[in-house]
Amino acid sequence: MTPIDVAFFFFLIVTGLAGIGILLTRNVIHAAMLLVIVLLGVAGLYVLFRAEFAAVVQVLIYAGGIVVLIAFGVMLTNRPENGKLMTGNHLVLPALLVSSGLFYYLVQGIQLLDPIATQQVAKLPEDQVEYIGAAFMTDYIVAFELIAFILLVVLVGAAYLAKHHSRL
Amino acid sequence: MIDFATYGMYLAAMLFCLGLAIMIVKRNMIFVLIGVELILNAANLNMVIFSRNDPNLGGQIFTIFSIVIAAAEVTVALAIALNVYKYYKTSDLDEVNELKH
Repeated sequence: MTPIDVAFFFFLIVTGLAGIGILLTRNVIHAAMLLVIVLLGVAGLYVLFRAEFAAVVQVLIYAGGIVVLIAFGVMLTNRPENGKLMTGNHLVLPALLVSSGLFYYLVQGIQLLDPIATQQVAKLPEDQVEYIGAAFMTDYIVAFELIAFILLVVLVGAAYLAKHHSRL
Repeated sequence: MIDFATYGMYLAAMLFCLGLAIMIVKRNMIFVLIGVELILNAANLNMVIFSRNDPNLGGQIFTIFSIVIAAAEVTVALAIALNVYKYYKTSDLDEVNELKH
């Protein structure tokens, strides 16, 4: 086991356990904090899969932005009972059936893949940030501009929706 | 040589199924949003894994687009959740059962 293998299995196990923890916990704040662990673990896996830029974006936007938003959402939309933010479960059996069945078929599908082909690593650009920046401005310029426009619309729309209105 | 990619795909499949289960099981609006985030992360993880074989980094670039879309989605969803809470005074999705304004 090289140190990279150890890091890989560390991130794999931590991410998986934190994901299971979100399903099992009934406390909303605990779920939000476990979500941080899942997102950071996935960011670590991004680094090991040689996607450093995506890892940085994941930490900045997900672990930094979305989790804070979700924490605000928890505080604004939940009323504590006995000092705890608990939530109930329903439809446990159908959910387990559907998700475990789907997992079974996904695993079957993954096992069909050629393991030699999936282990190949192409010669990636030396400076990924520079390459991705150039790609955004050339090949992906339409998608880049569209996503900038969507972000602007979402910002204005969310601010309008969350504003206090006498009538919705 | 450990096959990283296959283990990563198993984890992505597991995160997807966990997200689906959370979306079905939990009765709280915020919990359902967390499930959606897990599903989006599973998709991103798969794209990053396969991006390793692509010298043009297509998967990684689309992961970044997908992360931005996820940020937009969660912002609007929270604004809607806030309004639903203001109107119904509850965040339990079972009690939000009428469309009447």
